Amino acid sequence: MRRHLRSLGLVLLCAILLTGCWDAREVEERTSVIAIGVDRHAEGYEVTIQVPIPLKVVGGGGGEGGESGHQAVQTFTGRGSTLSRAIDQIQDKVNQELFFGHTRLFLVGEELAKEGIEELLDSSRRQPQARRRQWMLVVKGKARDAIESEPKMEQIPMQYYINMIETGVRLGRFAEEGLGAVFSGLANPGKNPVLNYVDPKNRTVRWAGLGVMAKDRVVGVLTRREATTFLQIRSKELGEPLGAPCPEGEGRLVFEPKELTRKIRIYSRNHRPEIRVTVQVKGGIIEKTCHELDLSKQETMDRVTQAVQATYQRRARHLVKKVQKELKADGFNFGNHVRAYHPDLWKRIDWDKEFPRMKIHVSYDVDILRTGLRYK
Amino acid sequence: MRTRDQNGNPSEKRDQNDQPISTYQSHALLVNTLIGVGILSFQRGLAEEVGFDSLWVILIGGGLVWIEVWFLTRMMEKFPRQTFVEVLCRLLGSKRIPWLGRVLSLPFLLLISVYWVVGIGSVSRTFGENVITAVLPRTPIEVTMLLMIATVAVVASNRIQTIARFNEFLLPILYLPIPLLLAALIQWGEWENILPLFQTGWKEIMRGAFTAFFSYSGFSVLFIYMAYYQQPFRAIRSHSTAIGFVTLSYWTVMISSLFVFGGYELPDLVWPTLALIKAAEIPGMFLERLESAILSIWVVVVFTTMVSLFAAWVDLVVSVLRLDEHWRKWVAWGTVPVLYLVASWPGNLDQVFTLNDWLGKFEMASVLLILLILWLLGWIRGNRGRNRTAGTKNKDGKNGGKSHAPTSS
Repeated sequence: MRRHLRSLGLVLLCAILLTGCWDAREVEERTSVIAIGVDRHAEGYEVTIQVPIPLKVVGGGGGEGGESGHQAVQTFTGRGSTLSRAIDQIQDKVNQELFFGHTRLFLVGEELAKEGIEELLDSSRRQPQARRRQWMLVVKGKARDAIESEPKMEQIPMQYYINMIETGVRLGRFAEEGLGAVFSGLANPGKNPVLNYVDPKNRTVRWAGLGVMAKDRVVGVLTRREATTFLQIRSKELGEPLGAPCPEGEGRLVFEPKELTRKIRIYSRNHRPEIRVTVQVKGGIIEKTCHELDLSKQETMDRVTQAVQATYQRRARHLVKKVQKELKADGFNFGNHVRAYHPDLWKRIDWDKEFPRMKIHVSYDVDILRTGLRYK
Repeated sequence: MRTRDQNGNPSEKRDQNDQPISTYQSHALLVNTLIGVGILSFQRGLAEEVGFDSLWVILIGGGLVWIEVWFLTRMMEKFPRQTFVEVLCRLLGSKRIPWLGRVLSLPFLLLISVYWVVGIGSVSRTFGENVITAVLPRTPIEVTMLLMIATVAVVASNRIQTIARFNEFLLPILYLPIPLLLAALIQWGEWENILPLFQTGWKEIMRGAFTAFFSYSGFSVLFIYMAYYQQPFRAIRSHSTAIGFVTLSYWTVMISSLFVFGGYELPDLVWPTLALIKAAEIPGMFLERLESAILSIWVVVVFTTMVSLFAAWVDLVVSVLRLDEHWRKWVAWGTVPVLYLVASWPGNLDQVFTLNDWLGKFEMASVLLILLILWLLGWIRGNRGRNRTAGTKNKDGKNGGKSHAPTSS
């Protein structure tokens, strides 16, 4: 028994004495960065970070509550030839050691995004603190302006951005692409990343579409309307509701997609690939401003379905044309399908050259299930 | 029953055949030995060689290892209650010159000792490298390595049966990270990432399977441990399930990594498994950074591998030099500096991986060589060997599982 007590004591002693380690940094001993914004600068990069002030960020409890907007955070800016050099400069202005383990947002200024972000991302790949779950956004104008903007709804302005993106992703309207997707898009020759594109104003921020990339460069921005079709084809997202003209008379119909399936079929004709995409959308009518239309009748519904389908298809045609001829980058990731399912074809062709001139046909199959609480 | 035996009086000198290793313990022992640092990074090397086909080449690696373990088990069960040290000495020696066997068997023992000693060192180095890049960037790697080696030395100076129980106890911890791997798979996985399959030639596939050997390495400890088995002739089943389980674990890790990272990104990740854990997000869980927690589980995984190899080495030295039980401690501590030197030997991470790669192949080759020698010798000196084996086997078979009970009192 005494032997047991002695060994127990020894174990406890070890546990107590050996816990100290070189790397212990308490939470209050570090400055947690919630968002990083990077812009092009003459020196290389200009990095702006946002740091929540722990004392001011109080979650409801107590009588006082926390302060919000830029009273609850502080922003810092640094410049340098590389990302880490710029962050080093910020470190000189901060009271504690900077910590990027909780960074949720990585903003890239438009100018830089158009030049290419491959070099910028190296440190995020190398450093263990960076996480693949960070959201990466392209900012219209400068990333610095986004970090300094002041949406009021959240204590921490950047949290507003994060929530906005996450809500949009949940609704299927925004691209679900973070750092991880960018890494994988850059590595995979059949893929290209796509980033959400935001437009910050003084008090507000607006999601303004998608930045389509050719590998690490943003080559073009898709508008809100194009983005819906784009995401439906690329990643089976629902996208936003669609406004279609009434089959007869004045007014509009609004169709809200609820379910979506997509099929990509690849044909090889004369050793050249041809792609046919079928998108099946099921949903309901949520608004109708055309008076003559009686939705309770089957033949009217057929015509309405036709109209919605035609609108979808027209948009898809425009989009495909824009992506192929203007952007010239396979944002749909069709290449990845060819690579995965038709490896022989993939080996034979140079995808980046082939994509802009190949035949891509998108057809929609719309099914309207419900028309809401009104009978007609 | 068993624990009471153990606590009774560990210092008492006994016949080493009491409290033998049970079937489940042998399973635990093999699983824990095989799953080591390989699980942290085997995907990278494999993906480099065979790309998307790593998905099934890892299974080929497991199959080849299983074949070798099958031969090893069949060979060693012919010599129950004897380590291969004793078997080699006896088969190579003669009655007239008693020291001849020991001298002649030295080269073979040396071969496998090199694997064990270099293996322990390289495992601790690999793990140290992982820890220093991933979670403890300021802790000097020397400290991590020395702490590991010293702790392993403490455990490895115990008797083999204790090591087996130790493994039995720690085995369930191995299962803990699996939900996280699957979480990452579900959240990030894409079908296109694992396709296309069957695109590599046979040459690359064989090279890939050979690369996978390191993740499966360590089975050579059976040369020692099988001598302590309760029912060596039943070991084939527990060994097969162990290899099957290890292969399945590696396959799970491989398929998760491929699903998440794809064959293109994988070769660029130094520690793919860690990256996988980092990517996983458990909904509703406040803790975001799980890699430290997971890494502490891997400490156990790596630790058991090192303990197995180390204890085998200690047992080998003790039986070659015919030392007393209490010498185990001194042998273990005497090896620590050597292990530390081996661990600090590779100049950079790339050399560490090259060394690991080489170790995996080296073990396969040297085990094969020793098996061949044993088989040849057994065949040449057939008559004597067969008589003995038959005798022991029968006795063992009759007593079955309870054979140790009377001797342990």
